Amino acid sequence: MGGPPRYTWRFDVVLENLPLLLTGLWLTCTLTVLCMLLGLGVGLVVAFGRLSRWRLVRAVAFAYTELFRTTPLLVQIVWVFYVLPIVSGITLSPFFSGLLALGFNVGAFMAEIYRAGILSVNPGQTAAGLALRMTRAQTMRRVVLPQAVTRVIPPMATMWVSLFKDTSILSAIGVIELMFRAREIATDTYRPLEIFTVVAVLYFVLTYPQSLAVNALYRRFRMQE
Amino acid sequence: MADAMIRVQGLHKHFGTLHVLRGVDLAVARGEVVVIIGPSGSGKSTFLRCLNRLEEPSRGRIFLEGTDITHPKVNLPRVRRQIGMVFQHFNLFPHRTALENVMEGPSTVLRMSRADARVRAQALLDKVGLADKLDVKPSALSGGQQQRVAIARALAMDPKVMLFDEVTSALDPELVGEVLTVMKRLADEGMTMLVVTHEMQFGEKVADRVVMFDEGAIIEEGPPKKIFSRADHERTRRFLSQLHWDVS
Amino acid sequence: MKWNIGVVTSNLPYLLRGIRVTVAVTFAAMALGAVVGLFVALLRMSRARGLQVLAGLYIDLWRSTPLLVQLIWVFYALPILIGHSMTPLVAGVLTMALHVSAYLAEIYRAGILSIAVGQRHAGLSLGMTPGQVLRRIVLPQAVTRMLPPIGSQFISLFKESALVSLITLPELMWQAQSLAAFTMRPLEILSAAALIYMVLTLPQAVLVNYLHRRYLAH
Repeated sequence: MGGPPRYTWRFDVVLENLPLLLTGLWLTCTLTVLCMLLGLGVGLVVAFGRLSRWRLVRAVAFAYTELFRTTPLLVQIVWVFYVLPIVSGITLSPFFSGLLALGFNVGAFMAEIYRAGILSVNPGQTAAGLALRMTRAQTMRRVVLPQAVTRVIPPMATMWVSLFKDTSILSAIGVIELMFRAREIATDTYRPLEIFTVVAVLYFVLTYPQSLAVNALYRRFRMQE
Repeated sequence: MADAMIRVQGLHKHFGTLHVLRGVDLAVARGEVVVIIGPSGSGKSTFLRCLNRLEEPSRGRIFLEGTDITHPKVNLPRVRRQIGMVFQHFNLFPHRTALENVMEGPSTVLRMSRADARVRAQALLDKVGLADKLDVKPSALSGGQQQRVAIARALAMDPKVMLFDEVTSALDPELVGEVLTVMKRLADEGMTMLVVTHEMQFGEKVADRVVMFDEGAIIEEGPPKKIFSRADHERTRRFLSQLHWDVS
Repeated sequence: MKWNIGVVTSNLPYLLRGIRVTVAVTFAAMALGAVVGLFVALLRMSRARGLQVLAGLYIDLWRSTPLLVQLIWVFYALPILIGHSMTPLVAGVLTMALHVSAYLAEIYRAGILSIAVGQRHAGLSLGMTPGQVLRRIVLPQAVTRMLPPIGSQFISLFKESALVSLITLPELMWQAQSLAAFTMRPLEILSAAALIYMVLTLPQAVLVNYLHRRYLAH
């Protein structure tokens, strides 16, 4: 074999399909924002569940986080898309299945981040709050949470960047985000090299600055990564 | 002097825009004990670390027994074997016992057999008074004991010169004496020593010469009797009086 | 909606084959990635600026693109570039190895740099070469600190191996999906697959927790 054949790169194919790729990118960004919001909310609820006084609540919250943290994201997404309709009788579009699966996945990881943040605040602070006749809720809200926030923000930012990359997995259930568009166009144009290279570069160009920002956040909050 | 053990010529060191050493010249004779004093930030420790090129000089030359060790083609590890260093924070290897710490140099660098290295290490640890702590890890030793192990470790390489970088500054006061005792003994045995220290009494008793550093340069040097009681320079006298040293 | 466990139990051997591939692929990728990662880490810490920058670029590339994108590129695009096709196995293991090598390189670097500079000075002052200092003084101390994050990375890789099903490698996820389609019982099969992953991951998590307690608790 005399090595690779003379290959003519044809980036004009990429340019032709750029609008289509950009619609995929738009959905990627939308999904990232929506899943993050969902995850932030769900995570907070679950975190308090983990810290609850009632053992049953703690157990349920624990089971939830373990479930989402010990199974692959792809499995979760596929399960929600194919199995949830069977179990609940509700059929969801790929978009909403993906949103739910990824959102609840982020929720499980955020719950751990919240919990670690809250627990890392010196217990003396809670004692001080209670000594000042605050209720547990007030102590949590006015003393512990503000301090926990600085410890939560950097890992949350890391989560965001991971989430941005993980939206690509939703292409497996037909969500028409960037990766899905890429595969679609590569198949139609028979030019996977150009298309996939450009899409990889696109992901890099969008993700790398975000990870630099995350590094800056860690430095700003003076935390160990 | 003709047969200087160490000769430093025009040593400069920059850290970025910070000019830490400003043209230091010094000659140390064989067997001489030179005590280096001066305020923090005067460049004393940087100077010491330049002597074995743990810091790279920006400009200037350093000669060890006539050989230019600042030459780019010099075999640095081989040069460093001849210069022993003891650090303020001991820097013992935590994953090795006291005996293994002292054996490390002879075994790895001098390629001695483990048996020979062990014999040498045991003798040295005995010499610094730690014969009963051979198989103990540094974490189980007091600061003074760790520093004595560090001295033994440096001596294991049979160096020509020993450098001491504020070796008692990190010790609790009651542990300082045991280390200074070992150092005095070394001096009595004729080791060439450069000692950066705040222990003025040690300087007075043991030094052959005292060198005063300030702002990156040697501003005064002389026999301890002179420096400690009748220093020429105002800054030297001021520095010594700040340490509650009786200056007449 | 009725659960039919029988469909899982009767097809267990089929799923087991998938498990074997998942485990093998993860171990192979981790082993290869561990070696490549060490090489990259050393380049990243070298004094030659060019090599430093190159290693940094490598690390940023593999960490700032999704694994799925990497898998698709290596499996569909790279063969065109080199004029040679790739089996899903080779593409999968290679991609996962290079992907994890970037993360491991950062773990190695953080571990090595966490060893106080005084240790290096002590070794050098005895006349050791930088290589001897690394091998005998720095690495032995760094290794124990690196074990917990390396363990976590392994678990991540294990879960991410499910993505190679998307380049048609018949590991557990692929087996599960094709079985679910064939038996038309996604409920039982996919739930079983999830359960299998949990069962395989939990002991790993216990081990990593142990490593954290033993080596990183101060």
